[in-house]
Amino acid sequence: MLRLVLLRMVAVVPVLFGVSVLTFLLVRLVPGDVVDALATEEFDDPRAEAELRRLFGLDQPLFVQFGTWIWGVLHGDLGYSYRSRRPVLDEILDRFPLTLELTLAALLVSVVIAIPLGVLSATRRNGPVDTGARLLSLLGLSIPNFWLGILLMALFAVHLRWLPSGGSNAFAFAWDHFKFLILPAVTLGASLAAETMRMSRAALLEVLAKDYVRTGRAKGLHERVVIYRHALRNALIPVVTVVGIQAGALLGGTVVVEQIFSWAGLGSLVVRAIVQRDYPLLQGLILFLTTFYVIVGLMVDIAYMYLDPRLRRRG
Amino acid sequence: MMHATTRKWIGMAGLAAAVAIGGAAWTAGGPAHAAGMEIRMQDREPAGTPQRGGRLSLLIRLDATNLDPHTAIETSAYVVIEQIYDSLVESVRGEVRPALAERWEVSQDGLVYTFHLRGNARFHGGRPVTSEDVKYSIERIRNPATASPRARSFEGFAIETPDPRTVVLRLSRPHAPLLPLLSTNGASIVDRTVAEAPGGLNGSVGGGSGPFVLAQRVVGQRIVLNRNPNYHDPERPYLDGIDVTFNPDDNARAAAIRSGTVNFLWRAAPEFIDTLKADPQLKWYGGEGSLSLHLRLNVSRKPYDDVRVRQAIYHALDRQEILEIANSGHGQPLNAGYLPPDRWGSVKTPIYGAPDLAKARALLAEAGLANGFSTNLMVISTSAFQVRSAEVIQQQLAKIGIRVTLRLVEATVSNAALRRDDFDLFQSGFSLSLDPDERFSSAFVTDGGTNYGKWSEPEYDRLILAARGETDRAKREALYQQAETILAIRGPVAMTWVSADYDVVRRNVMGYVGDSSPSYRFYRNLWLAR
Repeated sequence: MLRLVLLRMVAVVPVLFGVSVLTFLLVRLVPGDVVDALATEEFDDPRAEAELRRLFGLDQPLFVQFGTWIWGVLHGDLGYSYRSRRPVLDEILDRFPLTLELTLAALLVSVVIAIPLGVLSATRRNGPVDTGARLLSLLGLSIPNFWLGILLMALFAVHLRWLPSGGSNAFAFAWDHFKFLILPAVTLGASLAAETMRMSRAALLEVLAKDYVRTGRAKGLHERVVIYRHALRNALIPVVTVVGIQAGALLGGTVVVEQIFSWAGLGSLVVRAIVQRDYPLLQGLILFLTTFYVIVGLMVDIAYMYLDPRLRRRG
Repeated sequence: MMHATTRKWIGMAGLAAAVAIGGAAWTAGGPAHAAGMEIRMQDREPAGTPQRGGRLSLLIRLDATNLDPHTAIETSAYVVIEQIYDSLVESVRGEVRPALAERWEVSQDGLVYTFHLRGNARFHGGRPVTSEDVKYSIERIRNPATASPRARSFEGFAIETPDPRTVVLRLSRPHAPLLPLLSTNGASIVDRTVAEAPGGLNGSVGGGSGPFVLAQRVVGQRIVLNRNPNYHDPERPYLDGIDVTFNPDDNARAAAIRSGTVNFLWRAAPEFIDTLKADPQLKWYGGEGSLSLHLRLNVSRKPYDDVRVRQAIYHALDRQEILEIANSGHGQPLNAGYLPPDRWGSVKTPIYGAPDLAKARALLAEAGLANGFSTNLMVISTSAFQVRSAEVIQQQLAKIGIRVTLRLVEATVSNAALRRDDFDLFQSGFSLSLDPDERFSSAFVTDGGTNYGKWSEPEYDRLILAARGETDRAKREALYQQAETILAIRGPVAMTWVSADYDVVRRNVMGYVGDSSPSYRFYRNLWLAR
């Protein structure tokens, strides 16, 4: 198992290099650079523009720019953001904890709702609970994030005044921190739950039709043991895959919910970097997110091995 | 970035009167829109005696990426910078008032400005503000290594510091926009020891002497400003501090003020203003704005090099309709120059009114384009009201046979295209400036930095140059009116409308006195009734 993990980690290196090269080239293919992004009606000084391009090294040939950047990366230096002029790593690390926290909270909300509902749905197939749960999940899948967010905000912040409408506070195990987390986590979690619920229902139904389930029942096992110990465990593998993909997507892609709830995570930073053509920031972000995504993928694989002993032996 | 504003003034004749009678209506919109056009820049009732204490929680749209006053270029940064930094002088509704300089003299010939600094101003680090700091700050703006976008404006005078409390500026020729320029936040006086320390002025330390001290900055999350106990005005600020947070979503912003999550919503979106006005827990201010929108024609391309084609377009547009659809009527149509008629320097009588399609068609026929022509209109895709403006313009020009294709692009892409003069038509907008010289020069004078399409008209250039050197305010205004008339009649641009901005606060926030010049220095006057 350890060997498998190590092998996977070595495979990460070419992935990261490839992503670096691609990101570097792609961001430069987009028309306009950071100075164009800065150049508003107030910016009417061509000398200042030239000076900025020189300062940022944009007057250098592409391979020199790439070499400088990759050399820095290899030394743990992601460079400076063009716009804020702060180290890219600081910009990322300032926001990453919030992104991670929102991701975990949303996944928690999702799993807590989805798996029990999926089990109920599958075991009472075509009953009223199943129909209700499936309708609910359809609703969860079709309501766009931003709309659900605004609805929750209107109810819990504007009408009931139980929760703040947005913002975030430095981490602490205190209400003052968690009250900001609830609405965005529920908003994100709701649509994820819909997906996860459908997946766990389908997977469990498939497993429940298997021979060993019939055997279990035939030898007189309690229905609860059949479902939770034998069936559910086997049904979880595709569910773990879905949750893993969701985790990866959440880390880089919660822009809309972040913006609605003023949640200062990485998603809005990615958008800012793109809009402002902040090359070092964007390159650093993509590299960071790719690394993290790969780690999540690795963790999902390890979870498979835990859930399915056959995979363990193969390693 | 199109919303980037400078904090400048254009005289607001009529404003004082409008406020005095409790918010008069703009006349331009006609009676049907009078309700939407109400202007309110301060409370109608006297607010009572200011109380000390409490914190303001201010929600703005975007985080400020750069808080260095000499290089900042975002409106969100200006709001924060004006709390942290002082300039030599300041503008309040167009009037230049003392700030770090308690008084000043201008020589008869307009060539020598002598500023006397107040003795009790200190930087947040404790150092007194001296004439050397003024000199350092202006030289820092001029220094190419600073890469200040406004460096060019700060040239043309020598700085002398005969003693620590006197600054003398010697000009080579009279320059009327100088005092307004020195009142901008771009001319902030900064603490050299902070500016030259690692991290500089964009770190988490402010190098100013203003009413609030930068206490904490968590990028993307919040900017915390605390009361400066050593501010040169011992009374102010009344607040213990301001907590600035950010949210670009208009829906969520409206929810934040209604729920009481924040108590000051900066620039509420016009679409939400009616709901917010109806909420008894809230007070609103505004109705005037500082963003001037227009359609720019590339005169370096056919057929826009022909003045008759340009005039055909100017006569075909219905500016009132554009405003109605693009911004739900919140604003004023611009039927003459880029300055709204109530501002200093503007043309008071409309040059255009209802569209004259017969005249427009005749002009096109005269230019040999009786069957119209096809053209592209570039517009910034992320600005909803500009896209709507462009769509209405597209419909209106179709009536005279001009087939317009919209090209929606990102601001960075349009900026790059404009700099190459690579466009036919551009839906454009800029913020009004404290002194009209800045926009008149940069956007329309021959070789102006933002004169896209390179329009050149010697008569216009002469008027702007003369206005710059004219120290008599009335004569100077007349020169601008002549220049604006040329722009409106044969210039490279069709003015369309000017926005109305709104701030919304909770009921207990007192002391608001708005300034759409625009200026954000009034926050030190705010206080909380408890």
